[in-house]
Amino acid sequence: MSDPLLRLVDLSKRFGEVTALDGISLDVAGGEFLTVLGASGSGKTTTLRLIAGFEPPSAGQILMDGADIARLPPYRRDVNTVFQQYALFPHLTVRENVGYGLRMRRVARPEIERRVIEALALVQLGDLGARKPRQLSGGQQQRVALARALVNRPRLLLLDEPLGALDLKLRRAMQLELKQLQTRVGITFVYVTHDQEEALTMSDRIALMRNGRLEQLGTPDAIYHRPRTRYVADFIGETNLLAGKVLGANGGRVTIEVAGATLRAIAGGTAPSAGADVWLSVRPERLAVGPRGDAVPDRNQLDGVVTDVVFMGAGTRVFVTLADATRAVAHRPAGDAPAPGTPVAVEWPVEAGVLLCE
Amino acid sequence: MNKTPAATRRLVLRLGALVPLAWAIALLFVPYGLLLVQSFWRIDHGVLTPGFTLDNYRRLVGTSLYPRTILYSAVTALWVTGGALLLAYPLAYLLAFKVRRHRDLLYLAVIIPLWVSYVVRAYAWKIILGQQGILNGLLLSLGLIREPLSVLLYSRWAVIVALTHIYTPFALMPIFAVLEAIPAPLREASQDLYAGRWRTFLHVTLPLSLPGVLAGATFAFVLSMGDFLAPQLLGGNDSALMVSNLVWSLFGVAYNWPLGAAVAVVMLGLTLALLTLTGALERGGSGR
Amino acid sequence: MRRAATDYLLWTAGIGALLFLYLPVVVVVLFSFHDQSIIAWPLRLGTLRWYGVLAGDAGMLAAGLASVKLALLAVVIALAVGVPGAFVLDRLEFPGKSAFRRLVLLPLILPGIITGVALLSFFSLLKVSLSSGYPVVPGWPVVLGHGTALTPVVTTQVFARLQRFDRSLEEASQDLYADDWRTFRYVTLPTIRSAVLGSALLVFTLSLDEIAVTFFLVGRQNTLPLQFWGLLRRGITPEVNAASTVIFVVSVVVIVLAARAMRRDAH
Repeated sequence: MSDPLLRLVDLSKRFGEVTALDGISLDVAGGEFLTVLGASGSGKTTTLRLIAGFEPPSAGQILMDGADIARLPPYRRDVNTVFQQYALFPHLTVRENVGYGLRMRRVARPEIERRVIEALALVQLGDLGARKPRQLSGGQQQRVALARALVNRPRLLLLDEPLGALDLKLRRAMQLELKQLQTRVGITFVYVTHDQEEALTMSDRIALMRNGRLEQLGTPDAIYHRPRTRYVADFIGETNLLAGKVLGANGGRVTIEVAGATLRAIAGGTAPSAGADVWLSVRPERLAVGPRGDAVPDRNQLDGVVTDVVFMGAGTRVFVTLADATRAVAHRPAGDAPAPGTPVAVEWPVEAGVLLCE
Repeated sequence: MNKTPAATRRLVLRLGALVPLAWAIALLFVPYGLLLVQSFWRIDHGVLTPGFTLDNYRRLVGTSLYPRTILYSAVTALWVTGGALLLAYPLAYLLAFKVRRHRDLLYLAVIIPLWVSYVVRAYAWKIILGQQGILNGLLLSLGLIREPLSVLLYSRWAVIVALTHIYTPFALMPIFAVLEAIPAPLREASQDLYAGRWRTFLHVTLPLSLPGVLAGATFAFVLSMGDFLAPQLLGGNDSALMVSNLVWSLFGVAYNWPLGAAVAVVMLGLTLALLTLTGALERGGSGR
Repeated sequence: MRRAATDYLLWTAGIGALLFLYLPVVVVVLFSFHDQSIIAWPLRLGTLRWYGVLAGDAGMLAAGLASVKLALLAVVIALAVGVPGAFVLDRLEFPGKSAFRRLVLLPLILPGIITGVALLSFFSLLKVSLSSGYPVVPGWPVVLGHGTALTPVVTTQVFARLQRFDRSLEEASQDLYADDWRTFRYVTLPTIRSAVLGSALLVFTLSLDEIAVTFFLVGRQNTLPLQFWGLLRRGITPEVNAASTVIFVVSVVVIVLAARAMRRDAH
């Protein structure tokens, strides 16, 4: 396997008393689309600013092709950034904005012109080159910011919540477009967002951050289906978290007690010992709601009462209050919902539950 | 290899920061400080002599002339401040809320009198208020008086009118700035919550504009109290009683710089105290 | 009908204030065409005589030239000191910064007379003659005095602009391979250009009209306002009306230009 394009080694950043980043280590492969996901204050933007060179790290290394660039100023790094509010130069035209980096690198004028036209065509803004940024819509400004970075053909493109200022519909369209663009140009993307849906849609891998630390790193599929902590399960998508106690373990199979019922689960890593407090995470789309009955092999079952049924267009959300007063939610196809007040059982396949120690 | 120009440029940037610092020390700190130091010197047989004496301050406190003059100047400045606010507030309010088209142009029109030569503005009042002036001419032709009034010019009131005219734009600018910055939804919310226009003004607009009023009032007060030219031109015998006229004559014909410096230091101290006070009021008023 | 009543009152007060502000201006301009050497009511319009007298008044012309020179030098000093000063206020942290901030704004807030006598004492202690530099400049003390008194105008204007400036633009520039110097040259400077230009014009007109500081620092060569003052002390002369009308027109043009420059990228 080849060396990673970017390697963060034990990277830390403190602002006075506040530790924004607490020892991050991370590899990014060439051509990869990595999303750094996290709530505000998780350190994701700080990570990006360190890689771009806007802040010096307090400790640790930033290796690009094996060379430490942590002390280089931003203008000596083969890295470009798409800023959150775009940071387009208001006094320059779109063309001048896009050509800025090439001009600073003293690229010959005819080549600048050629590449600017190319870049604007790439983001489908070919005919707006003479405008000033404030004459553009938000979506167009976003494309200019993208073209301004891509035109330099950086090894690595950093994007700081680039779609955050757009409305939902435009954001969805741009997500798809960005992903296609990245595949086409083959540039490595490090993409910062707080929107977990965006992260799931676009990324090759997701780095989920929490309190300046890396909580979990993996493919969207792994993060969604095999969260390692309760925080991850809760942050990514919607889930039902059931509090339980371990009764016994047998190989990978664990028996736990939840709300007075005995359930089975599969331990992800090492099986927890008997008596330990655990969480069982079950995604709403894996929950079925039906009449109470006998347990079926390889399925878990809990009794409850339907409290609310919410229509969502394509389906229905059914809220069920369990014996221990936990509220569970199930996504069901439209029309397949019992009325509120009905005593029901919720059930799911054993392998749909993820056992989390914390 | 291209490190050298970068290092040179960084050096230039560093030096650039030193210029204002050096300037602030050499031409502000030292001269103002010198004024303080000099206020402890004395004049010995017509020669400025360094030393340390409190005589100047003793004279300031000991003779009734100086306290009286300071009080007199302050009262004059208060009249001017009141007049300037009374003129500036409605104008600023109109500009901020009532005028929609050509607002920038109108604002400029209000500020433009500021750029007529100061001396000329002061003396224009001489044409207006003089014995053969416009006002007398007007009153005579209307038959309201038989003889031209001589009391209009060369009086405290002439000085107050001229100073009010000169410093009204100074009061207007900060008031307009705060009024303009009041978000429209605040006033709308107040009207939505059953406050009429008058109560909206009283409970929302006026309190929110107070920092600007305070800043404008400070400007008008400090600058008019420190004015020494208009009083000389329009004040007649009273003019000798403005505190800045005392400084002027002590540094001029009287050649008593130490005493003049002492008076100036008192003015400086009063001004700084006033600025600190209004600064504190503004911060307190803004809820922090 | 309360609404109509308050509006009526408001407009009356506002228009009254405006008339009050313009009355002296109108009087001076009208009387510059007054066809008598004694300025008294009633007004008799219809002569350009006083403009002719003005054109032939060597003392007035010399004063005018001196004032323009002085104003230009004041602009140069105020920019050279005030622009870096604004950057220092905006970007540098150092012990005593708040004292520095108060100090540099003092000339703007204090009555001119205090700055005037302070600088007079300073130059006289240094034994600098008030006429030194004449006739190349009107006198170094008065030049430095104007520069010092008016620098805060530039500092405050440029500082206000810098405060509204989005610092991520500078980061974007650095990200796009421009070093500190070129970032300043291509991004920061264009952003503050209008504030610099506008405040330079302001300093120019303020210097033309400055009298409190000038009074104490002027040497052998009078400035225009002092020349006026001298004439006025001897009595009212219509020539002053003509001269101030000329200055008024020039100032208004300069101010309108300044306002335009400042407004252009204010939004």
